[in-house]
Amino acid sequence: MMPLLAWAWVFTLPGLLLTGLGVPTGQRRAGYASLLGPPVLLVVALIALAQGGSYSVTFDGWLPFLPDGAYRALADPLSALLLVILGAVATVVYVYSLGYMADDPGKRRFFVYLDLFVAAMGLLVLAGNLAVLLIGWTGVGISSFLLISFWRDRPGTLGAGLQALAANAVGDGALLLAASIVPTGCGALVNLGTSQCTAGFGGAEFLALLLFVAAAAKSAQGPLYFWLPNAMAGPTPISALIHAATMVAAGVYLLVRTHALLTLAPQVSLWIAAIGVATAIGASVASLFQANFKKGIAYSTVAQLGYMFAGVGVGVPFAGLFHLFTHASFKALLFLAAGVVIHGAGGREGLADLRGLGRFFAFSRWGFLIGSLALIGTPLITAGGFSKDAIVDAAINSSTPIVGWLLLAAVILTGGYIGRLFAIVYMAPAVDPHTVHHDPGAERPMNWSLVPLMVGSLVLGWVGILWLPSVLPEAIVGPVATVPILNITGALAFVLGAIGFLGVAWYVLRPQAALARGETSYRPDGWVRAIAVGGYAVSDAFSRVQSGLVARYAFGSLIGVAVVLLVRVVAFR
Amino acid sequence: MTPTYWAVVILVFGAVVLLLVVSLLSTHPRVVAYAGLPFAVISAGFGLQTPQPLALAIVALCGVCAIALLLIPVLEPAVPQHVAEAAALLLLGTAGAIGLAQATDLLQAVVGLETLALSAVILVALGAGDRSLEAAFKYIVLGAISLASLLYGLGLVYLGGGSLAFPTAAQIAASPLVLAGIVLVGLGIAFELALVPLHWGALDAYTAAAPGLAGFVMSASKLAAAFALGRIVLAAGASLGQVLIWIGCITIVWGTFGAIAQARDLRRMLAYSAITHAGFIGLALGSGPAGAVTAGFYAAAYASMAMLVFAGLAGPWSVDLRTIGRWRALALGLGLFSLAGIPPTPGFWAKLAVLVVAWQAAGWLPTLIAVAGGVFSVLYYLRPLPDLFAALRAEPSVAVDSRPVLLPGVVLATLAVVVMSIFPGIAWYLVRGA
Repeated sequence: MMPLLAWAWVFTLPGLLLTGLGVPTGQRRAGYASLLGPPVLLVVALIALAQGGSYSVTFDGWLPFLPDGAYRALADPLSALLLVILGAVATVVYVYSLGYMADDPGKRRFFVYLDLFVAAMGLLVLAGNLAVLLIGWTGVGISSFLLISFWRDRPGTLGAGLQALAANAVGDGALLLAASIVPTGCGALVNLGTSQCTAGFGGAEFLALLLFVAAAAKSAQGPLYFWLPNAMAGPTPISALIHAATMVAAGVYLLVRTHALLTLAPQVSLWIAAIGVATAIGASVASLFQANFKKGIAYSTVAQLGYMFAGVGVGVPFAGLFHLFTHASFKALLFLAAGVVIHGAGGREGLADLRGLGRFFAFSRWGFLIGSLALIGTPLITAGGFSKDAIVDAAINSSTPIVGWLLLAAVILTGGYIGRLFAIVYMAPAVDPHTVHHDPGAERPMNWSLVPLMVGSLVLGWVGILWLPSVLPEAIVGPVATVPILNITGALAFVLGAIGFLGVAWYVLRPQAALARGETSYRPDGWVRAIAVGGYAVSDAFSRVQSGLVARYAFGSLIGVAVVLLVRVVAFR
Repeated sequence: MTPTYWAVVILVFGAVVLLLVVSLLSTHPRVVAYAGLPFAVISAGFGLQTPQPLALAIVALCGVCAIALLLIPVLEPAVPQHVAEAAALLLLGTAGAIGLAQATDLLQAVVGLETLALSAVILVALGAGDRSLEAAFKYIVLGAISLASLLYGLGLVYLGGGSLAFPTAAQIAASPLVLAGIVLVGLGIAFELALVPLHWGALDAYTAAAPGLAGFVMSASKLAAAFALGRIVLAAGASLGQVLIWIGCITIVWGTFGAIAQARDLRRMLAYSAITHAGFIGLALGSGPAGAVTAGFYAAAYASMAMLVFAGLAGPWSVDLRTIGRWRALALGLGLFSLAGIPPTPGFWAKLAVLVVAWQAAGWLPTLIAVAGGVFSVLYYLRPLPDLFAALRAEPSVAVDSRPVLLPGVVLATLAVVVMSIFPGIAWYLVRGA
């Protein structure tokens, strides 16, 4: 199956074409043609993962101007695992979207974008060298932009999309640079850590730094975190698929894929761990103060990605990958469960509006509860317990144990923010039950698509410790961490998480608790806004110089020529 | 006679035929356009027989000319009485551009450049209304300044070296007169590229010209100037290359900031984008021996996508994007994606190629500037997307903007971009060889 899997990125393209061309017709059946792609991807990837082996596709001389201009696609157990995640979450999200977008006039366009995203993400995961990776990397960024700005008539969505584009542009730039500066013949991702490829400017550290910047932009780490919470302006299924489970995990994937290079760059690895920890703590705190339901979950995604980065940074990429695997399931579950409530409340996302409404949606309530338990790392019965413990353990046993202790302590924040969201939406008495509208036709596909994610959030941890180490060779994902079924740090993490969960839940459920009415829009804030405003001001000044007066133009030309002559002929003679 | 000369002769002959014969028989725009087409096609055929790197220059220039000819039928209503002139000037301008691109000494460069520049000025003036007349006037005045720079430089080179051949690095090192001369010559030709600080006239001209003709003026002048400067820099070495690197970087910054402010005016944004892309060509030109080839490749990629965008916009000067119909909206979207440098489009390949040579020869700072200018351009190119999506859904209006007469031009331009997206190696082969 690996040879077939190497072409998996084309699986959703027939659906894209058919849906785009209006087949089948009608609002109700719009998107039906796309439904086949993700399950096929899932099945092929699962079989390939079980069979093992690897297969690469190479066309030499495709881009003769690059250091490595071949088209290289590589299907191996690591890409197969990522494609399993992509296929599974995409299948669920496609079905869910049939309900969520049932009455949306742009339903057809929505499925076209979804197909485009899955294709681009598939190419990203299957890329064998930097050139192909760039295509997928930029492609997922563009489809993410299109989907964030999907409801373009709503205020703020276009701005949120452009923010995501701008943050991603930083990462794209770093990757562009990496693809351009590697020594001739280099570019294959698995070979970046060889001595031949690290011989260029700055050595392994510089190359690793570029990849880290690219990964941080895609995964919203460190100062580049800001676009992800605002990306929640898109439809909720998108938040689950792209901005929780798959695309934002691409940064972690890239670092796992190139971990051989990271081992040669201890400085950068340390930075990855440090940024990961700082982001995990900072985003967890930020989540506690969100007035928007989805933004609260989004900050949780940023924080969990921080855990994964820390895992990679301390030199155990397998732990980061394991958490990526389980997180895809329970975070998608949290988002889709939230989406059921948001859909039932007529698209409103403010916590003040949604207060107590969750109790009218049983599937959503159970789904969110299971997702929350997995998020705080309940041992044995949920998936998150195993994977989070794997990261914390690996970090404590690394050369920088402080990383592990900080990650462990941050679990109390995790429990706090998810407890707050659960208490407000699902436990508090409803302020205004009349705002809930049940639409059984639309809710049925949404509710049922939560079920596989609930199962995944419970059992994937066992899958991860019993099966993954046998299918993921050490050569591909680095040393496979031995994950204990239950140990003292795992139990401690759960206790901390539970304390946070119950404490904050109690706090917001007090009768006299007033809910902060904060900003619920997707306007950029802080330094992001400052940069944008400054950029426009400079830009305005530049266009003012072009006054339309030919005399000034002539003067400008002459002065320019004179300056160039003076600098070149006199000063630098 | 080499194939290059045949290509030029056929284009000039075509211009004469259009003016003296076709214009007497018919002034119907389509007749004129299709009468001019064979000359461009035959000339391109000769281009294929020329050695690299000139092969790419001639093929691309003839392709640009052919697309522009196919767009003639949708010029402004005021223009049709001049359609024969417009078509003839397209052929003549292409001939001049080939002359400039193949120039082996400074005098040839001057002749080719002036043939191209004067044709371009009149083509700009053929847009409707005072706006384009004013822009054409500015273009010719500022063109005169750059011509003065070029001729003065030519004089200095002759004075210092005693020859009109492109001065070599040794000659430049020996005489400050030759150095000053070659810098002035470089700046004179940089006017055609629209590099800062000689971009002023071009910016207004690109904004005001009729869409199809604007595409030709931008693309043809960039192609010709890139190849001509490439030859000059190859001979002159780093003494001129350093100048081009830094002018290129300043141009990238200038064009990027200028474009960001043009939220409402697509034509103005495209004009600034032409400036930014010129900066990339300048940076490539300065980046050593491999840079000249890359600059040619970049110019060809730019030409394909600029022609596609203007084929999508062809029609009245100001067009409501929401009414252009779905096929043109798709074509225009593809063109904008390519200009923005989104993979896998020619604009992206060309940018990558420039980054590779810039890193090797120009150093880290110019490369970083190019990366930044390249990636942030996405922010302004994608702004018209909502209107284009509206066009995808809306019924095309019955106005001039969606007449099927446009189809051949749009299809040809789309084909060029798609082929360069999937097989960028073809253009690379034409400019560099296997």
